[in-house]
Amino acid sequence: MVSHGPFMAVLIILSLVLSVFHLPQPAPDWLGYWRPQWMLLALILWVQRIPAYRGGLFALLFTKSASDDGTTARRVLVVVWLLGFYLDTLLGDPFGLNGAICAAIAFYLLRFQERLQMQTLLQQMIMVFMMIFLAELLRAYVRNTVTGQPWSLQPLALAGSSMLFWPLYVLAAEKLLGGQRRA
Amino acid sequence: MTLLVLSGAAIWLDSNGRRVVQSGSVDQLEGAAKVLWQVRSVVLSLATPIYVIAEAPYTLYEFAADISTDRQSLLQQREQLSAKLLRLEEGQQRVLFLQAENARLRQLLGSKAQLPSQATIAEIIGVPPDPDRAAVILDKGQDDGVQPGHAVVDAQGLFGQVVDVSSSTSWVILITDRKHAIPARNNRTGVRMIVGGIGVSDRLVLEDLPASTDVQDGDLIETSGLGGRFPPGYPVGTVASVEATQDSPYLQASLTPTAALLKVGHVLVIAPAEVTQDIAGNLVSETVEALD
Repeated sequence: MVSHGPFMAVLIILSLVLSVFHLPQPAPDWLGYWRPQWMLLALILWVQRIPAYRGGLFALLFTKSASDDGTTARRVLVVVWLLGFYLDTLLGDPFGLNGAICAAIAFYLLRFQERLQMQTLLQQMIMVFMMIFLAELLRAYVRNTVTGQPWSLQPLALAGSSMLFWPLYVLAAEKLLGGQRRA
Repeated sequence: MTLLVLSGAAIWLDSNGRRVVQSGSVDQLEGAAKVLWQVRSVVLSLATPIYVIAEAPYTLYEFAADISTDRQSLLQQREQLSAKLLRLEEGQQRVLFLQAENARLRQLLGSKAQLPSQATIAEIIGVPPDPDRAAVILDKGQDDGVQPGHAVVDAQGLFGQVVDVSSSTSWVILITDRKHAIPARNNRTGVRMIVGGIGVSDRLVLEDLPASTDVQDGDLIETSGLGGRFPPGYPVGTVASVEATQDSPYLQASLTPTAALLKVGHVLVIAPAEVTQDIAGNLVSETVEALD
């Protein structure tokens, strides 16, 4: 079993690389629409599985405070919001867009953390689909408004493929970090 | 809620900043928009390593292909390049003569001469995976003199334009992107037109072209230089199809881009040329010297 902090750090870096990895050219354009939202999947897993606080400075980013009076939630929200700015430049999105998306998702997960931990894998997949679909709708709306990018079925395709990849994320996390899943 | 409000403010500032930069230059940004642009530029530099890692499999593949090339094919390649260089040098002599003649005629007419453009060679280090966006990332940025709005060309023709820069990298939107449009002219007839992208990598369209316009299959469309963003005379594409319908007062015409948009690894970033009258005399003497 590996420790939580390094696992999440590696997962996030890997997700960042996968987010900008492009298919060999010329690949059909429609294949690009089915690319899962690796970064949002990593974010959901990270926020869902924040364990009890232990360790040093590194653990501050990836763990929960011992006396949880809301500081953990605030800290996580600020961290994912700042991470969103990095994603903005990485993906060429308007500055602040991914910060809003990441902070909104993290807030929902933290607010209903205990209830979400009771969900089955299928329920989690549906939740992942809904969250990523709404996030991608917001992204498509802002891109359309700010840069004039036309609407497409991309939000639906991205949410669908991300949902299908979610069990793999959960299984990998279970294998490496220890189980949390319910039947 | 505070974070969402801050995000909304950042999006608004960034979109306004983009508009200002696209219609003018970075120097025209003021206050918070300028600070945000600088922050964005710094964060963009930090994003470069991720793109380099993501591009690594393709870079390694090309490296492996290079080192596995045998001596015989390298010699063949050298012969081909020598022959190509000879042809280009012959063409260059004619260009120099025409350049001098053009400068003299401009002097006689009292029109302004154009400074030769400053070009920077750049390598493509990343391709954003979003299928709705045609763009690439170059390894040259502000430190190398690259600015938003600079034109990008490859050996065959116009490639795109710079839209975002950090100190060491820049984002280039390709001419085939849906948002991209180029002031152009027909090389055969001189008729001005607008060439737009449609999000397809091997297709461009001529926008709002009246049905009476003289355009034929195979016509070369080149940049007109209007607007000052793209230098005049760079090939954009060749006309692939022209259709006139009775229902519409406009022609439906499409182009095949001349630039190798998907294959090229190196490009030239061109700073817009300044226009001046004093330079005409210098240009004539410099060109005559070069011809001698």
